[in-house]
Amino acid sequence: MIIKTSSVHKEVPSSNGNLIILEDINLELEEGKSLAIVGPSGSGKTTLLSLLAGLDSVTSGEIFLNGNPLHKMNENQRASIRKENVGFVFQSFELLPGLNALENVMLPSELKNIPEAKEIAQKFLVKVGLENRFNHYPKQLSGGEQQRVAIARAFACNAKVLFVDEPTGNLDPKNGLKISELFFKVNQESTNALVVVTHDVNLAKKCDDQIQLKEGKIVES
Amino acid sequence: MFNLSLKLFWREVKSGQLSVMIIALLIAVASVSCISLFTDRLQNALMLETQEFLGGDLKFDSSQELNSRVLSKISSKNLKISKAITFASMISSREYLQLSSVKAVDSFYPLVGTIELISFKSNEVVELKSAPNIDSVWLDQRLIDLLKVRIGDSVEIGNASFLVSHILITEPDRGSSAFAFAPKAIINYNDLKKTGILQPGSRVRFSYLFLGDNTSVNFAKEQLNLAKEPGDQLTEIGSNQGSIGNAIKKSENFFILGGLLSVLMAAFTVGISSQKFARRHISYVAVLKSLGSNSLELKKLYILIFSELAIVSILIGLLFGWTIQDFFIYLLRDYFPINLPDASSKPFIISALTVIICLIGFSFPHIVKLLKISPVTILRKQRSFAPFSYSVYIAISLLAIFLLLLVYTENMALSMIIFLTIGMVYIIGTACIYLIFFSKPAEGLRANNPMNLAWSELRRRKLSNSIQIISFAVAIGLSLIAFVVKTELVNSWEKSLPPESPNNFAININQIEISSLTNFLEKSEIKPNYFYPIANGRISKIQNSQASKNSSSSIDRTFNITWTKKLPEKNKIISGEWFDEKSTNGLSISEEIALRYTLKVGDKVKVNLADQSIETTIQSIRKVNWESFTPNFFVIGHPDLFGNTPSTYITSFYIPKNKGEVISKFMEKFRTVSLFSIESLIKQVKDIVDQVSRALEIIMFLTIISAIFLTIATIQDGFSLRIHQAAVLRTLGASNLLLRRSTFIEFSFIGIFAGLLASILAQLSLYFLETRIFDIEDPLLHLSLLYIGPLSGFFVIGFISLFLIHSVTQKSPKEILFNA
Repeated sequence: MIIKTSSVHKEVPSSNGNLIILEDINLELEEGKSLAIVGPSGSGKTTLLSLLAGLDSVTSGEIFLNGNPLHKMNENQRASIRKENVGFVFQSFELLPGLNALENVMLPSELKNIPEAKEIAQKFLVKVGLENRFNHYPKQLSGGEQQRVAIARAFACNAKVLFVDEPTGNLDPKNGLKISELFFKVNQESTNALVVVTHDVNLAKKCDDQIQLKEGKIVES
Repeated sequence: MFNLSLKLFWREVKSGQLSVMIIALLIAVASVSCISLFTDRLQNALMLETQEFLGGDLKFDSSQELNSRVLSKISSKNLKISKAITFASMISSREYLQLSSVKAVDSFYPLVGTIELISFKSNEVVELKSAPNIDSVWLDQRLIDLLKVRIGDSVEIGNASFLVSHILITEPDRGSSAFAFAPKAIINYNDLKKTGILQPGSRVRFSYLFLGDNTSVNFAKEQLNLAKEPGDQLTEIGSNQGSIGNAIKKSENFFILGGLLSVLMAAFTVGISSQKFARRHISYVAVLKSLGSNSLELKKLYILIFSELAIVSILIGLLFGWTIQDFFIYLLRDYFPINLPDASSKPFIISALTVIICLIGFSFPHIVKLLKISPVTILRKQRSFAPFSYSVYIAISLLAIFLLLLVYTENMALSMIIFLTIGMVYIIGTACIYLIFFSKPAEGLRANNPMNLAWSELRRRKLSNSIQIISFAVAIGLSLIAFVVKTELVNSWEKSLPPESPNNFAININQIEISSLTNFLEKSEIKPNYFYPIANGRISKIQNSQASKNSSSSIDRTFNITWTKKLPEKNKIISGEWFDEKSTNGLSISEEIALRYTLKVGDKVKVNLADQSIETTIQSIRKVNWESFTPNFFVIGHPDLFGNTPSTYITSFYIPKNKGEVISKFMEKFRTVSLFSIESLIKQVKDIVDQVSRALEIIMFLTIISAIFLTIATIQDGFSLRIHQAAVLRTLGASNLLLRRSTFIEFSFIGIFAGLLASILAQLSLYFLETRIFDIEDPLLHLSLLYIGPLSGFFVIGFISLFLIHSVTQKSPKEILFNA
C-alpha cells in the first residue's frame, strides 16, 4: 500500500469550541492506482488531501505514506518524506512569481540536489506542451499554461504519489478537459499513484477508485 | 459610504492589521506635538525673558541725553518710555568708601518685569514695580558687604544722604547696564540733582527703554537709528539672549532633531504599512468594482478611511504629546526664569500637518495603485498590482520628506542636511545593490543549500531588497544619530563646561596690583588665568579709494580692546593668520564684528583710544566661543602696537565652593577691583544640560521605538512575499532548517549592508549637524559607528527575521496555501 489511513480524525479550534473537519477516515491506495475524493464544498476534501500529503498533522488516527507513519512525525520529518514521495498540484497553481516556468519546474530537483535539474525540468515542460514558454514568468502565462507548469513541477518530483487539488477548478471547460487528459496521459507514463480532489465528475470517473465525503465522513467508496 | 468606511476602518483596527501604521503615526504625532509644544512655549518664554533682560523692546544707550525733538517724536507713538542714568560714583558709609555703579531711574521704571528686593520691613523677598522712594537707595548685597551697612542705615552719594531701604537682588535690564559688573546702587531720578555728582563732562550713560507694539517700536528704531552717533548703542530683542538663552536655544536644536528622527521613521513606516494595506485591499477593491462601484466612489471610501485614521492618530497622539511635554516642563521647571506661557496654535497645526503629509506622501501612491486594480483580478486571484511608475511614487515621497522636514524644523539648513544625506544614502545603497548583484542570476532558485538559496534570493530581489535596505538604513542610521546626539554631543557640550571653569571675573585691575593679586590668590591655592589688558576704543575703517584718499568711516560703537601675542583659549582663526614671532603690527577681530561692519583681512583701520590714535591692518578674523566663561574680546591688537596704552586688566579664576571666604577678603583687600561671580550662571547652564540630557532620553526612547516599528514593518513586508514561497518550497520538501538558515543569511546580509549604509548616513549627518547646527568646532569622527551600524543591523534584522521565519515554519504549509 502506498497510502493507508486508520481512524483519521481532524479537529480545528474555533470560537464555538473545536470544529470537527474529518471523522473516522479509513482508506487504502495501492501503488500506481488513482483515487478521486469527491464531495460538496466544506466536506473536508482538501483537508484530507493535505493530511495524506503530509502538509498537515492529524488530531488522532494513523496515516502511512509509503510505509512512513506521518501521524508520528514532526513537520521537518514530514518535509523530508514529501521531498522523496510527494508531488502536489494546487487549484491555484502556487507557482513562485519571481521564477520563470523552467525555474519553477526545476525546484523539486534542486531541493533533492539533483545536478540535472534543468534537463529534467525541460523534459517535463516539453511533455506538457510548453516548450516555447521556458522563460515566461507566471504572470505572462494563461491560467491553463500556469496549471501545466504546476503539473510539470509535480511530475518532476519523481514522486511516488501525486496529490492534485481541483486541477481544473480554475480553468474554463475546454482548458479543464485538456488539462485532465494531459494529466492522465503523463501519469500513465509514470508509475505514480494519484489522489485527486475534484468536483469534476468526468475527471473522477477516470480514477480507479472514488470516495465521497460528506460532513467530514466517507459516505461512499 | 461613511458607514462603510467606518466599518472597514474599525475592522482593520480590530484585526490588528493597522496597528503598526497607527502606532507609527501616534509616535510621530506624540514626538512632534510634545517637542513643538515644548519649544513653542519655551520660545515664548525666551522672548519674554529677553524682553525682561533688556528691560523693554528696545534700548538706546548714549553718553549724551537724547535729542528732545527725537524723543518727543517717538513719544507721540503708542510707546512706554523710561529713562535711566548710570554713572560710577564713590558711595560712603560711616566707615567705608566704595566705587560703585549708581543707576538713577524714573517713575516709569521698570517697563517690564519686577525688581526683586529684600524688604526693610519684613526682611523678606518682595517684588516691586516702581522706582525707589525719594531719599532711599537700594544696594546690592556686595555693596552692603563692602560698606558694612545694614537695611535702615544711611549712605552718602555725592552731597546727598540716602536711607538703605532694600537689598537689591535682581532687576530687569540687569544684563545690559554699562557698569553691570561694579557693585550696584539704584536711586530715584528725582534725587539725582541733589547729589551734585553730574557735572558737565561727567562720564555717564543715558539709557532709554521703549516698550510698545511692533509698529511703534519699529518707528522708534528708525528714529533712533537716524539720531544715533558713534558710540551710541541700540539694542533690540533677540540681538543677545545670554548664556542661558543660548543653552536653551541649543537644547531646542537637540529636541527638534530628536523629534525629526521619529517623524522621518514614522513616515517610512507609514509608507511600508500602506503598501501592505493596499495589497490586502486588492480583493476589496476588485469585489466592490465588480459590484458596480466606480473609481470616484472608491476614492471617497479610501479618503474617508485614511481621514478617520488621521483624526484618531492626531487626537490620541496630541494627548500623548501634551503629557510628555508637561513632563519635560516638570523636569526643567527650576530653570525657566518665568512661568511658561501657553502654547500657540502652531504646534497643533504642525502635528496635524505631520500626519497629513505622512499620509499623502507615503500612503497616497499606494492607494492610487490600489484604485487602478481591475475587477478581473478577483477572478484571476491576483495578489499583485499592475505596473506602476515608481518614479512618481519616489518623487511624491521625496517631496513629502522634504515638506515634513521643513514644516517641522523651519530650518532650511537642518532640513537639507537630513534630506540630502538620506538621498545620498538611497543612491549609494541602490547603486551598491545593483553593483554587487550586477550579473544575471544563475538559473533556478538554487535551493540545494541555505547559502546558495540566500544568495539567489538577494540577486533576484534587487529592487525590493534595495527598498528594504534603505528603510533599515534609515531606521538604524537615525537611531545612531539619536544615540550619538544624546551621548557624545551632550558630553561634548558638558565638556565645554569643565568642573573647574572660571567662576569669578576680576576687572578694573591696575598693573601695579597684578603681582599682589596673584600672590593673594596663590596663597589661597587659586590660580588666576592670564591677565588681559583692556582699553576702550573705537575703530574706523580707512577708505583707500581715489576719491577720498585715506578718509575714514567710523564704526558706531566702542569695544573693549586687549593686546596679546597668545591666542586666547576657545578662539579659532578662520581667516588670515595669528601674530607670529616676527610680526609687530596688526589687529585680530571676531567674525561677528567682521560680518557686521564688513571688515576683512587686509583692511586698514584706525583705532581711537582715549589719548591716542593707532593705524593698523586687520590681520586675522577669529571665531570666538562666547559661552566659554573666560574673557573674550571682539578686538585683539598686537602688543607692540598697544603696549603703551593706559589700561586696566581683566582675569578670571576658579574659586571652589569651600573657599567662599576668599571672595570677601578679596573685595576688602582690592577695593577698586570689581569682582563678579558667574557661579550661579554656570550652575544654571550645567543644570540645563543635565535636564536636557534627561529629556533627550525620552526623545531617544521615542526614536528607538519608531526605529523598531520601521524595522518590524519592513521585515513584515519582506516576509509577506516570502511566506508564500516558503510554503511552496516546504510542500516540495524543503526542510524548515534550510528555510531558516537561508532566511537568516539573507537578512543578516541585508542587515549588515544596511548597517554599513546607516553608519555612513549617521557619520555624514553628524558631521554637518555638529558643524552647522551645534557649532562644535572640531567635529568628532565617530569611528565606532563603522562597526556599531553593521553589528546592530546583523543582530537586530538577522534575529528578527529568524524569529519571523520560525513563526512561519510553525504553521503547516496547508494553513498558508489553502487559507491564503
